[in-house]
Amino acid sequence: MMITKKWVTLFCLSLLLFATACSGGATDKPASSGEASGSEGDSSGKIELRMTWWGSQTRHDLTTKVIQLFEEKHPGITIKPEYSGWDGYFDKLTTQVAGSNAPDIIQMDYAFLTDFARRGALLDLTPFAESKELRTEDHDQSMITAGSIDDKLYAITLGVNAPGVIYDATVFQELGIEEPQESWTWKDFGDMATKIAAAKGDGFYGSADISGTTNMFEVFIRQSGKGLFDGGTMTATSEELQQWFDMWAALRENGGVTTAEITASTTNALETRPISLGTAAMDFAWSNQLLTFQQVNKNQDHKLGIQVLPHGINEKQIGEYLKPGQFLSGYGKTKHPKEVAMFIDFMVNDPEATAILGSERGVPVNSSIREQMQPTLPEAEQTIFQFIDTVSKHSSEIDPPYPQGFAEVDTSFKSASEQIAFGQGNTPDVIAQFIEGAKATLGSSQ
Amino acid sequence: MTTSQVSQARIESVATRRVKRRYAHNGAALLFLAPWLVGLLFLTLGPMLVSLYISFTDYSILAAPSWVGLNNYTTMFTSDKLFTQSLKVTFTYVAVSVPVKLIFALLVAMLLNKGIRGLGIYRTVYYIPTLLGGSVAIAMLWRKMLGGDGLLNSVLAMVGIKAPDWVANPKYALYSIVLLSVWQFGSSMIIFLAGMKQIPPEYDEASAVDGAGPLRRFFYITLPILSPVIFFNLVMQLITSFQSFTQAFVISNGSGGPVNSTLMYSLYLYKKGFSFFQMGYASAMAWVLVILIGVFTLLVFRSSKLWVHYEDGGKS
Repeated sequence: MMITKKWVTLFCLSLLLFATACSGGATDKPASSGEASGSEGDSSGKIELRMTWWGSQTRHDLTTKVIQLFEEKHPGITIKPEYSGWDGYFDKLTTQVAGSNAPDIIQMDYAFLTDFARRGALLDLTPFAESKELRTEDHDQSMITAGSIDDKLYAITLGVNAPGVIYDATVFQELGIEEPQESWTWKDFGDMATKIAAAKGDGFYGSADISGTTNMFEVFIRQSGKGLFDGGTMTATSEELQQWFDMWAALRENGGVTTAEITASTTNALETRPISLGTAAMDFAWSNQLLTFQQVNKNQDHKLGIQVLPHGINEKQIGEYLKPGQFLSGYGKTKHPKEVAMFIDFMVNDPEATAILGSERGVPVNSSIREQMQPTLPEAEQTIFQFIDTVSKHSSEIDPPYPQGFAEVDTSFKSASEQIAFGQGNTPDVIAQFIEGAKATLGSSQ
Repeated sequence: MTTSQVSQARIESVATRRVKRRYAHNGAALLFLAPWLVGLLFLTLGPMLVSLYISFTDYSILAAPSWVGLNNYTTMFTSDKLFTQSLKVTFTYVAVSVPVKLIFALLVAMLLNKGIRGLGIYRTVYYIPTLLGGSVAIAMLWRKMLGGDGLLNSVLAMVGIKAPDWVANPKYALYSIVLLSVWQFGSSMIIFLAGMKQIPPEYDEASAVDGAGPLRRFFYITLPILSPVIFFNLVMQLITSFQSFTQAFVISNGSGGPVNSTLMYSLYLYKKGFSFFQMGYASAMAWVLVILIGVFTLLVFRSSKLWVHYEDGGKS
């Protein structure tokens, strides 16, 4: 048949229909990032790995420098970085794992380790540790245990952390208030926050309101002698929850901590926290974040300090603990397990790499590296090292990893705190709802 | 052979050739349709069937799905308070944003229909939000603008009004998203404008001569003639606003807003599927949404008999 105008039009139309059918009619099309599945080794023997991590811009800059260093030392391997902030990191990772398309090297968190390891998403590093391709002899044993699930090593600690209270030392000095001491209690914290807010006036708060942060509530619960989770149940009683929420409610009322609205508009990005914006004097965070907090602070001339979490009055045990800040894991379905193990070993044990990373992710897990590093550190990092030192002397054992279903309990804890903060419903009801919800979630996830 | 036998043979051969040509035409048609059919099968129908299967399982994404029957559906309707909340939020959003958007679009279309100068420019400018509005960038901008220290509050502060944080306050957060949706009235407006241009001006002139005021003319001439267009816009807006996700996700920073006040249905679905490792439940939610939208669309279609006037009497 002749190629008439009719056939050309028909052909173009069906191409158009094909394109429409493929787009699926959705108004939001995800930006396809063109990632290849897993890694590829082409005919010249070059291996390309993908690596993902979360963090601040500071971390991204340091980590890409380490990657470049690794690529220089191993010319046959290139590593493509994929980084983001904390919010949405694990959603994205879960999707990638679902698509069998996750990056080869994955920065992992204690909260999600069990979920991912038990579901086969992570590479078993035990054989590499045994063959010394991934050297762990100088690592803290408790950190190795923390990275193991069911006796298999899935994650190497990238930095040792501890929860702490970051405070603006300059503001404290300016107001003539004594900086928090190691022995301080929740009452001291409350008094300090109230005093600061009163002295500075409207728009300035003693501290950010962290009543919805499960991690910090966990420390509070640890102070009563137990972990927040025991096997597959949440152990907090309604009395303990009431105590916690009441404490923060009182502080909201007298202006000591941020209002419900301000708290709701703050995210996990350190730049948005009140202390960074210059509207609060204290915040609860992790020791390694001190560096970034210092860098993103609006008032660059303010000095930040860090102190242990306030002690419970009549506490049964110290709530503080050393935590693996984050881990480095391999993807369970990676095509290059050897190279993945090689990189992980490089990142935690190589003197040059660890020197670049410093303590931005936490204090290095390799004790000989720690010793080497300490004398040469800049001031802010010395503070962190000293803080970890303090905590290691005043802390108790870390609890086992969170059970499956933690993500949902974490979200509902935050909602509960917001409900209370905005005055929607009375506190005992909200607490009862939360406890019930947690039981249902954890029960069905085990 | 006899003449009749010869002509019979000739008729048969013509018929065969015609049949063969029809099959040839069918073959060509199928070939052209093939790309679209493949797309339909593999990118739409196929995944839909898989999703239906998954909705009857417990699927954490990281492990294989395990059959649980109707468990997901029953949990949804009996013990999931957040599900009820997400329905409430979505219904509120749809009930407010769709009528407001359509009414606004209609009003602006009427204004533009008066034949003002620069009609083309206005049309384009009003249409731009629809193009950009669904994007992440605009949603982030919206969030900053309506936030505690955002543009809106700064302007209000200049006049001495201390306004709440429109995005972080559970009373107002949803309405920030409604506003964002109403801002995108452009596409509906253009369709209304096109519909209005088709109204024969003779009706208006004749009734004006008969003494009908502008209001009467609007309700008795313009609206009825426009009713098919209104019907179309209503159905389209209903369907898309039930599925709304991006704006709620970005403005609430993925959380569903302060105290779940912006937890739209699809946002909750997303969280269940990707953040809480319950893809089976999320798939069940997706199917419930399909049925929900189907029911509402059906209701609108049924009701259309009462208020939609087609010029040919609706016989087509």
